[in-house]
Amino acid sequence: MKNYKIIAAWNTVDPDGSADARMLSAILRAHSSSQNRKSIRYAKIKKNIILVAACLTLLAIVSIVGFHRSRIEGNKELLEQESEASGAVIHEGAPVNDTEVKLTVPFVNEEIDAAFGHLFPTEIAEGYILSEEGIELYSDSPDALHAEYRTLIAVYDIKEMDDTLLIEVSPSGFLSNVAYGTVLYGDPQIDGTRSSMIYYENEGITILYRFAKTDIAAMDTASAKRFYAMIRSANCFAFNSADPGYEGNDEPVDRIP
Amino acid sequence: MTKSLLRTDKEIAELYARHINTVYRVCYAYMRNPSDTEDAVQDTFIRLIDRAPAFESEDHEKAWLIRTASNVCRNVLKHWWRKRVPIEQFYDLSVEEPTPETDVLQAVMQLPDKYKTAVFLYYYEGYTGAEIATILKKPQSTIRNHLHEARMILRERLGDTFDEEL
Repeated sequence: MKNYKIIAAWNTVDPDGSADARMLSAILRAHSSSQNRKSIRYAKIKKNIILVAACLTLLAIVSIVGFHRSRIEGNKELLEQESEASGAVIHEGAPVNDTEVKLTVPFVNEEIDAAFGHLFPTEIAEGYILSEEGIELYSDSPDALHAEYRTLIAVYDIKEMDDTLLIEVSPSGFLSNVAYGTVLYGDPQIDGTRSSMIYYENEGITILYRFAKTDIAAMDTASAKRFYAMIRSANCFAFNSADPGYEGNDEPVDRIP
Repeated sequence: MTKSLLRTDKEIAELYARHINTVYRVCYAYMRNPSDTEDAVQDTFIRLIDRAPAFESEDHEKAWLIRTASNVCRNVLKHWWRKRVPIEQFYDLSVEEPTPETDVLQAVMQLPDKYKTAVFLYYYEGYTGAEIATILKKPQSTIRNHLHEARMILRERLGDTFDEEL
């Protein structure tokens, strides 16, 4: 609906040329200053974002380093607990994967081989080499093993049995109140498992084998064969009929009595 | 159609050229003197620059400007120093000479503020009642009522000279 008189009346309301120019220039000035304000604001926002991103990155780095350290500490604690249980002290730089230990493990094996023959397992896949504080674990001389109160401990992670085997070599008399060849048991753990150990002595040396959860007296046939083959390979020990599992022919036994 | 939120000077100038007459008339309907009208027009366009709204079409752009101009003017008129005297008296006391108005324009300008924008949009811009209701964000019945009241007043003031033509 149109009313031409109203249209004509409104047509008379127009900004004149100078007013038009004034308004447009004022608007453009405002536009220009607004853009400046916006660019300053964006610059500030950008700066804040960069600052926050830098802080977050720093936080992430600190967290990662902290996490890594706590893991290392955790591993050490685990080792300490394990060593405390066996009466040993962690040797510095103990993880096998460390360069230092990788280099020394074959040498340790040589030491063990020289004194006791070939020990099972033949290779240390994973695990840690621990020692009593002060022991010259990497000494050229096997005499170090005979030093009083010094103990050599090797821990093997046996994947096939899902267990850990600790072999401890120490001067005789360490377990003198227990008849050697007897299977001894540790206290039951929270998960219901318990450790079992057995030891032999000869010529002033005691060698003890301790499984973290495998019962030596109830070991499966294949494992028992390998285990006693290993014990016999420690050639400084002479088996006799009193030893459990010994059948007089130096052949592996099927099961511990 | 400019959809970008960041407009160049050229785009602002083009937008201004497209809508200055409409915005000026809406503002004049409220302010009734060129100086205040100019200020209101500038404020309207500056709001557009600051808020940088994205428009779907030129109609959307125009509707936004009409509504903003109307709000700007009402805010100015509501301000405390304006309230110290009645609006009608304020116009009379204005130092500036008002724009010479025809009888019809004078009659329209003397309508209450709430009717003037509706009359301008309906009779001059050709918007329907529904469209005006959308632009001014008021119920359609209110706009219909405003237009009806405005027509009654104009008929009373202009007599036979106020003739509606289809």
